Amino acid sequence: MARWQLITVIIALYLTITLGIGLRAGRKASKSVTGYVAGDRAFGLLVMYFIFGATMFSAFAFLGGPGWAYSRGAAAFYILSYGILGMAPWYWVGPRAARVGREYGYVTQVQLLVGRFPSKPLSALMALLTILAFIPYITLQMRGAGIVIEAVTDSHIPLWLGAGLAYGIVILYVLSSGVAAVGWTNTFQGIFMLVIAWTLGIYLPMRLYGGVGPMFEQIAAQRPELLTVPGLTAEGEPWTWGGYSTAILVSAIGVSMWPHLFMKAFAARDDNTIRRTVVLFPTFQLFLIPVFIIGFAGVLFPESPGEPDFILPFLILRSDLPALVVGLFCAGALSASMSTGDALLHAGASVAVEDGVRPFKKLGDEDQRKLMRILVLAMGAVAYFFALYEGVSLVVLLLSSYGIIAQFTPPLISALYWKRATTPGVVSGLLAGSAVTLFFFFQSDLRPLDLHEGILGLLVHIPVLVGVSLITRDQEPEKTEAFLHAARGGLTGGSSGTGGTGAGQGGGE
Amino acid sequence: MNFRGLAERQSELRRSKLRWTRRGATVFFLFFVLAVTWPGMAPFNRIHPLVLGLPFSMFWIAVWVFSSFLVLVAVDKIEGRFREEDD
Repeated sequence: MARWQLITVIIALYLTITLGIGLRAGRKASKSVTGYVAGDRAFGLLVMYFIFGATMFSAFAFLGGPGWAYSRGAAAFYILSYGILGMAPWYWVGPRAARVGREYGYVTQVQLLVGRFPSKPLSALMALLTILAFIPYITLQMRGAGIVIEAVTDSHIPLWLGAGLAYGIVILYVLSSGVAAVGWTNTFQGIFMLVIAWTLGIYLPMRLYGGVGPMFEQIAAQRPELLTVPGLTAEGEPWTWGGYSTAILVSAIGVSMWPHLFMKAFAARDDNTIRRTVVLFPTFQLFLIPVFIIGFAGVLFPESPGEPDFILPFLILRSDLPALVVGLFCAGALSASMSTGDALLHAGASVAVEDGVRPFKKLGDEDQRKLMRILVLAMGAVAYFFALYEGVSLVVLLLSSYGIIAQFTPPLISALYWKRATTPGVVSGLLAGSAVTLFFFFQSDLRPLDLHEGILGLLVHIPVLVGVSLITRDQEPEKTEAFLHAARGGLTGGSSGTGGTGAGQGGGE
Repeated sequence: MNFRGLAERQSELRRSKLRWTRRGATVFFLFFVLAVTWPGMAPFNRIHPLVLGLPFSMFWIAVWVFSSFLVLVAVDKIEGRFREEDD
């Protein structure tokens, strides 16, 4: 059997197992919207741990991470820095969101927001922003899967077929089992990613340089500029401290607001599950260290791949590894891609139906589930189309979408913590923040100190939210009090010891 | 009346423990942000000495990530003891 055939067999095996797990997962879930979108609120710690780990670290981390370390050096360290910074507040925010979700029956984050700040246009706007941010994200995951398969099978399976196969399977299990499939396949894929990354991260430098230390000594002698922050830009110029630091900030602020992650608060079995997921998160995050090491291993390699993102498959194919290892690596990369892609497809369709359609048109439980399935297919098709006809613009779109997603933070935090926030305040803050973000995205030369456009957006967003809220009338104080009461977990009286925002307690009934 | 007073005092004590835990954690994560961005990162932004084979800059960030794990474990222990089941 030829080498590529053996590799193909391993990949096929991996895909079959994933499909099996995905289809099996749905058998126990109830046939309701809560079952399809929020897993009957029954996810335990193991599943939650891998959902957050495997979903957050997508094909971008597995292929892009080594690519960054390889071409931009220490610039990649920003990815290592932000994860837990973004997740830690969830130890407190997550249970609050989950309690409100249980009390009022929310399954998406927009429902939570609109529950506190009733406004149909707000619901539609958030749904639209979510879909716009998701499409390039899914497209990149699909391309990642296709690229890996094409590379390791010596182009015997071209990109269109590889991406089609991998995502055909994703769509099949998301359609049949909903979030339960996402949860259980992510668990399998997460374990896979961890094992493959750590194994290769230690094995490759050993094989090529005789160890991790010797490898970095050689890089320090020949390319020292790669080993200190802030590293280089994509063009190979030194990156700025302002750009590097605000990339960490905007990612930390935005990361937990990605709808496919936020919504999992509603899928957790209980508050302690959410808390433990946060506590354990750093242990997953550290897998970025071997991922970067893999990228650095390519720096002194005599040849170079056409694009930095291909460094991982490139190295794997050139270092005469056994076919088994190559096949497993490929499965690891597919895991990274598919575990994010499935969550995105599922969450995107759920948000589109729950927040984009339902506020305007009454739908039964059965119709909602049917419409979600149609939209999973439609989003998959659109992303597949873009995946085949790609330009650089998609990567750019994805990076800019972080700036937009970060604008979801102030409204959601005020919904859960700040009594005096009002609908006009939240809507005008969101519009102003998004407008500023988009302006500086397109006029990037005007950004002061190379600050990230999302941070500049927040600098306008927050004062507008607070200012407009304070000059508009306090709305429905009893309803707000009941909402925040549910968020605190039903404790009586106004003074729960919950720290956090400390933002204006003023403005009473 | 006396019993009620005692229960209230205990509940107050419990809340103040929680408050201090949360303040402590907030302070830790603020230092974390400072330590990995400008200007806090600058003094530690160097290649040598390599630690565990890693450049010092990378090791420095990894230490903060790992410490946050320890801090969160501690927070969870303390919170678990003083949080009422519905808090």
